[in-house]
Amino acid sequence: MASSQSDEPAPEEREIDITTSTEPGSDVLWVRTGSEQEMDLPSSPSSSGYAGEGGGSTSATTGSLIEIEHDEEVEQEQMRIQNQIDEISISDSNTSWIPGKRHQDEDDGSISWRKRKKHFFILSNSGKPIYSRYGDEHKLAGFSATLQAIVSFVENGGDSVKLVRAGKHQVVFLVKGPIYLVCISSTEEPYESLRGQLELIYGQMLVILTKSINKCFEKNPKFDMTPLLGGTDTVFSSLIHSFSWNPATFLHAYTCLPLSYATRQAAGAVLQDTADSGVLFATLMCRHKVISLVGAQKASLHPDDMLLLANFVMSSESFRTSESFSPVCLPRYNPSAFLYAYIHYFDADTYLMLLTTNSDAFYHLKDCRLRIETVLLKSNVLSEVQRSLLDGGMHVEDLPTIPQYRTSHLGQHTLPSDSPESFKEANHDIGGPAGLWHFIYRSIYLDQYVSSEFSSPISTRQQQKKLYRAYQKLFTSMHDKGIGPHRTQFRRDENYVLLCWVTQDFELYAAFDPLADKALAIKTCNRVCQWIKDVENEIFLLGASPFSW
Amino acid sequence: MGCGSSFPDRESGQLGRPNSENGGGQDAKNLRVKLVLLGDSGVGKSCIVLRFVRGQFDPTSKVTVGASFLSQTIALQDSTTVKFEIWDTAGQERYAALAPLYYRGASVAVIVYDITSPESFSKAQYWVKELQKHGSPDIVMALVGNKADLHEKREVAVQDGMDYSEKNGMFFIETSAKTADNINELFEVPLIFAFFSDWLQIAMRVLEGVCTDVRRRSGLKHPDPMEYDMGGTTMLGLDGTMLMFDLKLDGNWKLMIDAIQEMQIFLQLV
Repeated sequence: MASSQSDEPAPEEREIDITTSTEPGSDVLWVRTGSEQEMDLPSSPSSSGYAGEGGGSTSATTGSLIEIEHDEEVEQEQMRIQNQIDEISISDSNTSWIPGKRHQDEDDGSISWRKRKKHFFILSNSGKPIYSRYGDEHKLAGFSATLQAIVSFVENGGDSVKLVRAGKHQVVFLVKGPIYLVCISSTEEPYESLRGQLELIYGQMLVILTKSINKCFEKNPKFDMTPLLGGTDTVFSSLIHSFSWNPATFLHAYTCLPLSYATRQAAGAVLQDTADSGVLFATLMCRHKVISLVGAQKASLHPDDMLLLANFVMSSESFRTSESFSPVCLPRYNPSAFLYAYIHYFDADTYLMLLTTNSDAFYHLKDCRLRIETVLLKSNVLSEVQRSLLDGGMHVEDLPTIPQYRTSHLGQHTLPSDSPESFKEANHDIGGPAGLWHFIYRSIYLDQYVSSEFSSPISTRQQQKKLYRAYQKLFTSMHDKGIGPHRTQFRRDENYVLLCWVTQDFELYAAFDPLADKALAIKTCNRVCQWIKDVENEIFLLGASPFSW
Repeated sequence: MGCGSSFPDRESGQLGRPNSENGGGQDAKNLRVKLVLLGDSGVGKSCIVLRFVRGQFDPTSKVTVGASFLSQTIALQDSTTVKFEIWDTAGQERYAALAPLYYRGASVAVIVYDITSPESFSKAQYWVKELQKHGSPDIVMALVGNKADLHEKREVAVQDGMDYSEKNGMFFIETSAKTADNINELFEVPLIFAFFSDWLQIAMRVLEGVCTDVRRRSGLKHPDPMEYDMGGTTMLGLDGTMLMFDLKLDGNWKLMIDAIQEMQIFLQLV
């Protein structure tokens, strides 16, 4: 297959007329930053950046992702492979996700590789591959060179490329100094979401290496960065996986493990002691949820840094084996310097992270941990954490109906036994036409969110991912700088009714049965907000938040 | 199996006692040894430590991040306890610059390579040089060829490891974390040098003196070594002695220390 599209008889999708317009109709869309002036792009792609310039001998095949093939045989073959992929992903959904690189044997010549729905690449500005989600980086050297050529072609025109749309594929570019990040996706996620994901991938790279990596490229533009990222495949693959389940990746907020106020206070108090003894940040986490966290005075921890740090720790198996001391960088705190992290797992889920600027602090931090552990055991924090994990967080079935039955406890099952009627009534308009299926509530002031537990009918991993994508889209449309900020949005399609409500204090995203009544849904949202207010002591980390300083 | 071990060069002066500053609270009964493992990624440093500390072997590779800290206390026959504080460092290139963080103050450095990988052997030599340049002069170094069970894939000869370590005054051993072969020995033997080097040096001097004396008197270049049961009375009238101990026998070397001690007292008496 050739890359010179315009030379061949072109089927309709093949008409890749590269324009600088932003009309939604055009197949290829160049969204540009900076100048508004028309860019003088050649009409024949054969002389465009990736075919003519840096692409070199590899260009013959590497341009193909932006093409839609109409060869019947190829199509049949692709159908077969797609079916296989579907089968694999269906069977995947029933087992727990295992981090790590997959399909290492593939390269840009493999049809299966080209059919993958979402690719992520990191490359250097000389076109050297640094990371690829699928396939072996070294085999993708030609493809990386092509991506680099596209970027530099547009840069030569004094502009920068942000997005190329080709058929159902979006190619999103993010340039960070000498590092280029590219996402090629057919998932129909909004451009803003994909770009945000590239930002997080870049941030994850900084967590591992800091921005000082730029100096290596200043010294040697042909610098090969892959050895420096050795052994970090699982960190990136686990982050990319979280783009399909973890709302923190687009909400830019963190979430807490539900705990009684007293329990969280006990954890917070002992962490505060360590922060007073020269620790910059002390965080007690359960999986990706915060139990408590404190920062030294004037130090603030950005939710994105927390996400990246937690991902780094949880995806690196060695931290579970024994206590560790490792350099880490918090890109939002200081992208150019390492901090030192003392990491210790109390059990399979609960871990402590103590961050300091002092590289000699290990033994001090180890002592801090021993003290913290004693207090956590004495005040039963660790057993409460395990109990909370079993109980889960907010279940939509527990949404209180009548305000006077309000309780300061999470969920109706903790209600005193003298009010059993509220338990029955709680299910009154769950399910059926007014049924609330799920919600996410984000407190703007606290930088925290709470997401209800998934329950029927959003029970399979596939359905959860679909809802997650719908929320992501809703979030983007609510935050679109061109239009927004919206106050409310009510959207109905064949899958759900989605309702979003944004105020100064919070954002609420809720999914209902597709037949839900609008007035009832709004009423239900009010009740959700009231419910959250009632239990905010337990679902949020209140006060002494380092974010609010 | 092809596991071998050799002694370091006695004259190299590399051996020393553990730093008193980090071995804090060092008393005769309870010793603390700070030990650091260095070497290329994937040579099995973590596997060696986990085999020693927990008696486990996990073939699925888990990349170490930064450095893991583990400790293990072993009791010697005479109820002396030795607490190992082990820094298991990450082998990845990006952590190389941070290594001093972990080897600073260590009394024993264990440098590991994979006998199936010549690259890892070169990397081990890099670490030896690094420690010679920037490490404490008292640090005891051990060179370890791991994955000795994969002898059919061997690419680094036992002799190469032995020669290199001899030249650099290091202890040398080949181990297999998978089969547990030589793992305990690895942790025990450098210990002798770390803690009992004084005794060894005295013993060497004593032996040399005795041998010279025997040679002078007998006119023989190499007096026949004779084996005797050690004991105060058997030493009486002795012209020379040869001390042997088996590295692989648990605590065997302790007996030798006792023997040297005894012999020294005896020699002082006469």
